[in-house]
Amino acid sequence: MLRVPSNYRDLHKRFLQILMNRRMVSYEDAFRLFCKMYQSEEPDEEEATAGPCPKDMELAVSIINKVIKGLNMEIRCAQDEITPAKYYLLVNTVDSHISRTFSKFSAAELEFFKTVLSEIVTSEDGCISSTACLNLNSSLPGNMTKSDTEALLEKFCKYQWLYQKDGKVHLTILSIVELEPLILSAYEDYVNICRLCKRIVMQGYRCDRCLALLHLHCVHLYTKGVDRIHSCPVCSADQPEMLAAVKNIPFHSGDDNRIPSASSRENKTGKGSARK
Amino acid sequence: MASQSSQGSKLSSQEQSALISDIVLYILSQDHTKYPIKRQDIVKNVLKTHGRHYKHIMNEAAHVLTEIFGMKLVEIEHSSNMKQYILVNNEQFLRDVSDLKWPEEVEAQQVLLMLLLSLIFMSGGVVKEEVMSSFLTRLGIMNGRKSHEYFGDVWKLLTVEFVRQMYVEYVRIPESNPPKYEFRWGHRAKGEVSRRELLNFVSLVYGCDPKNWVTQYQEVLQAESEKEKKREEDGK
Repeated sequence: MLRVPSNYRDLHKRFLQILMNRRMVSYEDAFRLFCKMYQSEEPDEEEATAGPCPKDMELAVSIINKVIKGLNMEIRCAQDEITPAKYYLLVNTVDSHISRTFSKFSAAELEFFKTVLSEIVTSEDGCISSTACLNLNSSLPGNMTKSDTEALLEKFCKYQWLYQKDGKVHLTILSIVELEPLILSAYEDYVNICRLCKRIVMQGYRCDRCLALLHLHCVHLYTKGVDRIHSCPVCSADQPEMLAAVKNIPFHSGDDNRIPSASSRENKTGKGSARK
Repeated sequence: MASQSSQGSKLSSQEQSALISDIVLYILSQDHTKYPIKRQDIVKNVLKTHGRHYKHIMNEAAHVLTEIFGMKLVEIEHSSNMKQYILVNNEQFLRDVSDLKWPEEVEAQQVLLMLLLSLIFMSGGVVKEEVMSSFLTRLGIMNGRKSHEYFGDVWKLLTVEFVRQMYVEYVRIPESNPPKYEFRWGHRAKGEVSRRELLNFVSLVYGCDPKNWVTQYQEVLQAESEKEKKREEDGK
């Protein structure tokens, strides 16, 4: 018999339902929703007027994760490779035949996705042009016309498996995180691992000597220290370009990557101490 | 592994939890259609050779759906040899509906559904089909059987799709000849839709206090106390 801890309440169920529906919610959006639910669920709390802080949401997420672990689901926090925005993602941690067979996509559609995935992972830039993507229909069995392919690509974008920008097709952070085990095992020779965070990286900063690929948000953390290091963490080659690469990206100030939105928590410390 | 356990009568606790979680995932994966889930499909797609453990595993799966996701698995009587279920969400959770994302056609259906459920509710629980069609025609949503650019084929949604999703019942008025039909709230609507929210919505449209609708307001209170009672019983 399943036992759910007593601190798992309606608030957690509602938060989970939203993530199941949207699969991918930006950290800011998630926090806004969390505050709204928190206030409607716990009106008796003395501190309700002060509102929850991001730490409360992170605690709630870890409570949810303990409960859904047995269903091979997990809410992960990850940072987008291009915009440095943080997201909460609901992922299946095990590739189950149930979620595969009864997904919103047919077997043929999933076959198309697999081809696109393979093209993206084996590409040099971690993305392919939309035109190349639409031409993939010819390599597939069945009679997919160009306009079928176009509609299908849009469907995958709508469900956030892929996204299109400036004529390029990319994997979303949701796909990267969820498919990480699959990509690592099937494309071992192609896939890049960021040496700074040890996770998969599709797009980022490439060292022009050893060709190591690093996440921009990792490079940002790596270079922002007082001594402004700008040598490649892999081959130690001097990489003055590194600083320029992350200069114009809107990272949050005080971002430390491990603890999301540290800055917004700091803003709340006044209220936090008042709660004690 | 499957053949072994189909011979033996007991499932290991690992096998059991794997089956429970598969059923939960299966039911959740079907939820976007809102169609009832048939017992035979659950057996065919998930349990397979473990059919004999059906009852026990289903009870556990229903428990997981309630405790973890806040949804209720409700058994629908169809006919004696065909069991089916609908997954009914907690009516309180539908406050979050504006924060959820649906494909555009689903959003259109949700709007239409609210109008139709409101009309039935405000009319005392039942609406004749000709009243329904003139109401929707007056709102400019329906124009004969012409497809609406936002809502699509409205009459088909009302009499086929929503019926199948169990939001409404569309039944023949007994002894009417030629046959005439009427609409009522379906099973899913009764469990999932908050009468209070609907009444607030209607009152907003008319610019009045929800308490002015005496009959409907009584019904809101009654439905709420019934649900409260049920929740307490379930909690025991």
